[in-house]
Amino acid sequence: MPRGELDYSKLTDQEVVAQARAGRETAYRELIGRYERPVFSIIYRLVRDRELAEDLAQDTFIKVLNALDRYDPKQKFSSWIFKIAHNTAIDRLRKREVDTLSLDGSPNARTADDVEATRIVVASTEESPEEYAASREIGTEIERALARLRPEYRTAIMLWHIEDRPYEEIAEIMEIPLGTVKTFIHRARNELRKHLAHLRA
Amino acid sequence: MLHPTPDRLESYVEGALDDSERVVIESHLVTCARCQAEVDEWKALFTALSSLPRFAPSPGFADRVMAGVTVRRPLSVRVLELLRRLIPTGTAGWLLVTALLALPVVVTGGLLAWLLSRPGVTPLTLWLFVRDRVSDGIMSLAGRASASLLENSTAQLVWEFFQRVIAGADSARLGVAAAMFAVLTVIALWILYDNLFRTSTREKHHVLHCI
Repeated sequence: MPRGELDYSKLTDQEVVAQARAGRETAYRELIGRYERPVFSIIYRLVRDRELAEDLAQDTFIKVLNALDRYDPKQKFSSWIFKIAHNTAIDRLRKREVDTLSLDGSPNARTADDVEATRIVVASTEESPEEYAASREIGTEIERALARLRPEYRTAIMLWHIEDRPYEEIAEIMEIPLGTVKTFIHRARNELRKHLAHLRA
Repeated sequence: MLHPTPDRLESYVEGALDDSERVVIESHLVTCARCQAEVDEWKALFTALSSLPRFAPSPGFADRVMAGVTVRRPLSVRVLELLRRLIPTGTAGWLLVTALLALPVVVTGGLLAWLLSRPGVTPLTLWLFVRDRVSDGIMSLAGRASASLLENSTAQLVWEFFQRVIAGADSARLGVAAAMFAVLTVIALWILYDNLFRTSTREKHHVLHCI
């Protein structure tokens, strides 16, 4: 670490935001580093098109980082950025009338090659290569089952199971009542079990 | 045998039940293979979902984001940065700064020494002379300021100046002056607008909508 630079790893999101507001570019990059994977993953699983997901994730970060002076530190930074990511992806899905039931590749894909090229790909994983290779089959099945859920169900499931967010925070992110979040997640899990039923046979 | 509902078993796997409910379900599971199988299915789904990977955007993502971000530096930080840039880094720089700072001391000291070497000038007479001049100057300035305040003469003077200019000038000159005034006003307004309001208005609306 260069002299005079802060060790951001010890700072909370709020403290890093304060540093960014003080004009430190490294603090902006720290926030990107902390959230690029979660934000990109949520958007990617919603739009299922890597190129489009990159653009939307980029838009999300630009919106958030350019509005830091209006960020209320009483709110969790993660809630704020996830909310903007979810809204950005949902807006685009509505605008482009994307077929949210698409199982493989981008809904814009016209040929078989396009479908293959835009099929959801695991770019990296936090599991070891061995573990990942072993779970690849169920991983693929799960991805396909997840893709069959309504986008709102998908976001709720991703936030609960992958991002470990409590129901209250998911309600805040998705701007829906707590009871609705619970219903979404409960229905989504039941749908997933139904879609994965053939694996049990 | 009374079986827990599937929803109850889902809540059990989720860890959402309190201790007493959990104990009841656990004791039931010991004797009920069907409910145990249901619990195993929920657990398998939970494990599969929580082991889903996070995807990474392509390399250079942070740079692409930063290209669209304006890093705002508060005025205090910008002033500090400017001051830091003015602080010399080498010996030559420090020598120059010291020389510049010492210059007024040297000049004043030299002047004082020269004055005191003149016949009839003592430190006391010099002090009295300087004190009288300074107090005269202050009194005269204060008098003028209070008089102009009392008469509100500044605004009046400006108005009279404009009246004289307008009365004395021909219409062509007046037209040119008015046009120049209008252009300068528009430029000034544009600079104000550009700095205060124009920056990423579109994003402001979107983000505020999200908050």
